[in-house]
Amino acid sequence: MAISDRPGGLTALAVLNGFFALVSGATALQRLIDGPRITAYHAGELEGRRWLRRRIEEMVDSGIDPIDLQILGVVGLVAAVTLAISIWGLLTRRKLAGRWCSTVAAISLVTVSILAINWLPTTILRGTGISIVRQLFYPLFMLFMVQIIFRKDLAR
Amino acid sequence: MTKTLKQIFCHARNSMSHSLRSGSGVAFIVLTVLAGLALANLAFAPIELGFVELEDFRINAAKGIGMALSLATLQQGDPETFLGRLEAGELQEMMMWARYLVLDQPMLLSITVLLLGLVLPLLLPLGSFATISGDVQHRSIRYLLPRTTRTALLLGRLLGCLVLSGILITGLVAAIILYLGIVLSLDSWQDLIPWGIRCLGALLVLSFPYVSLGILCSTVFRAPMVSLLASVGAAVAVPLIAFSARAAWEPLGQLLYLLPWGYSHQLLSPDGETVTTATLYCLGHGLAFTLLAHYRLRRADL
Repeated sequence: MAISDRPGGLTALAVLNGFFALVSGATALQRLIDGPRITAYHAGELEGRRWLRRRIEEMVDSGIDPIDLQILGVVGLVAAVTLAISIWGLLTRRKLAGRWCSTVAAISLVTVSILAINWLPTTILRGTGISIVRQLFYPLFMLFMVQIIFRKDLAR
Repeated sequence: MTKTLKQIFCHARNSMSHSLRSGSGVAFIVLTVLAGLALANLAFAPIELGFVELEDFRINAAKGIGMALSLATLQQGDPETFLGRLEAGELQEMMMWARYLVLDQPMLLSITVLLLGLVLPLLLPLGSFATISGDVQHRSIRYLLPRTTRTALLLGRLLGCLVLSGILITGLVAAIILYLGIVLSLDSWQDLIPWGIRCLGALLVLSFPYVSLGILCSTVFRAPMVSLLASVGAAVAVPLIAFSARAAWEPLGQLLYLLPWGYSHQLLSPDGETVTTATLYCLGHGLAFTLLAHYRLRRADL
């Protein structure tokens, strides 16, 4: 069996990217689904169980714009897809799929966090301030790793 | 002497660079920062979400910290009788200490740092467990030793781990202070910065024995995973065994002092003399682990 000379850090980053791809993808899908539900609620066409109706009512009361929610969902989905591609790229040490997909994913994740701070009402963001700092940490760390530490390793 | 120093600094730099490229290093950095910020979130959430009023939170936090400090200093073993003894005026010293942390100093920073003091001992070995054992397992240490001494290698790697841990802890505390100062604004910068520097000093001093413990396990065991298991296992097992054994025979509770668990909280004491003593104990513990690691590495058949 051939011995791989891939640095362990790249494998660790790939695993972490996989985890964040799942989290980001799930959140993005939720936002993409909630956008049309809010529009349907405004039109009086929302159907579904009581808990779903209550959740949508809370979102409407907090003043969320469904368009903002869908933009956040699309950017989050871009982050999830590029993170998923970067797993393969990092493991095979590809420049485009590894380094640049990670970079796009990092920028998308930061964008989602910043847009969420600006767009989402404080009633939803309240209490999650330091969580946003936590969300910002990983993309910035990944950017530092792929663009500085592993720059020469991701050159195929 | 200069040559040895140069070698130590060279090993420290290479150790840090290798840590950033290794899987364990990446996991250490990400886990430490995420766990630290999660603990901060845990401390801030009740206030931010408005679950409790600030004054109620202060009073409850003072009681909770007083109880934890009493347990940690082995003065009070049974939590059920604690409140009764508290109302009877006992354990005044502990309560004064808790009030100092919660009322006289920025409360949320104190709580976060106390929580970090509990969690960091479990995270710090992640950054040091493979420092020697990684090279021993892959036999790459044989290529290093003709060019350097075992002492320089050990001290250099220790310095590298300490600097990396120090940078992480500093970044974490700085992020928490900035958040408390800018976003929450419960305390003024004049209160936050001096207390933040003191808390940072306490955490940096506390990191020395646990990083040294990781290095000691790394010299004792040849497989990095066994070394990791041993260092984290020791950090967890010591308080568990001490508290269990104390129920059987009181003096066995002193086993807690095999690691800094028994006195680490005293690094945040209002009494300067207590802080100095706790700092010296921490440094002594770290030095003892380093000397043991040095003894083990010098005698090891590599």
